[in-house]
Amino acid sequence: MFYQQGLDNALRLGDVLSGFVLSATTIDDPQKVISTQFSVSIEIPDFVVVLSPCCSIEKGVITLTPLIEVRSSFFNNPYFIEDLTRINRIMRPEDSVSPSVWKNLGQEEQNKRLQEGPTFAFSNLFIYEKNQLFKDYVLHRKEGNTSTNYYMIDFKNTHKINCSKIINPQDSPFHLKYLQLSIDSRSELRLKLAKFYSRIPDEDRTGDD
Amino acid sequence: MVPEHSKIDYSELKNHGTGSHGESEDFKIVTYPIDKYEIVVKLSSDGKFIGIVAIKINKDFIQQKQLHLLKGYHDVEEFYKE
Repeated sequence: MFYQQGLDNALRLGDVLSGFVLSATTIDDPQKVISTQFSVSIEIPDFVVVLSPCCSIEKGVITLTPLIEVRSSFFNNPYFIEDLTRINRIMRPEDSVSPSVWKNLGQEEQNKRLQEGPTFAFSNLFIYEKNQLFKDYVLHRKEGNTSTNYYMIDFKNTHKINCSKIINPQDSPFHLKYLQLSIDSRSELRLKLAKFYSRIPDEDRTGDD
Repeated sequence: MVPEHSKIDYSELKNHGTGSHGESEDFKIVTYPIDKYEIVVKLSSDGKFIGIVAIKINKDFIQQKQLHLLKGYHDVEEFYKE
């Protein structure tokens, strides 16, 4: 079960909320001397997801990310079509692309990827299971349009919100919460987030990595 | 402060849900990973064993302690461009 039935009287990592306004600053040409050449865009998404770890939801600050539409290209892979939340978990190399793509990779590239073994794909993405709460939308594909209400979050699209009502997880505006992840799903989100931030860039690798 | 009626609504939701709850006042559900399986057991509030709720396959294939051994990511972005 992706979502927990029944909601805790507290905010948790992965909760789906509404009622928050998000903002982002755009600076085309940053300089050492701050100028007024920037813009701030405002977004009011239908739903946002809590990305603060449960114990860090406190002191008037929370990190949120909007629920966004999934990529139509995910539906080119039969393994994902069966259950798009498979993107949240580790998978075999041969399942990470469609069978036709895998076949066209060639033996050498296939062997290279097989040596990696099961691991994650799409390091920054986490899929949210379909729910009647979410609006359906249409994905345009060569093979024909697909209607879905799967959504996803992007770990690179985070927003810090100041809100004086957020004292701690229990003393917070949890009445804005619509969905709560099950313990298993929240564990999957935590693991993928941890892996996202614990990737070691090639330039930092030592012989032991 | 949260309006009083909202607190009542959420209390109702929590107490009358029909699905799996992580914890309640009377018992708690704990998942123990064993090899490639996960054993879900029900414990009393003082930690005494009540029963097995479910036996599941560990969907992660691996244990959390092994996660750091994963080499990297499947590099597949080029195959999923919009």
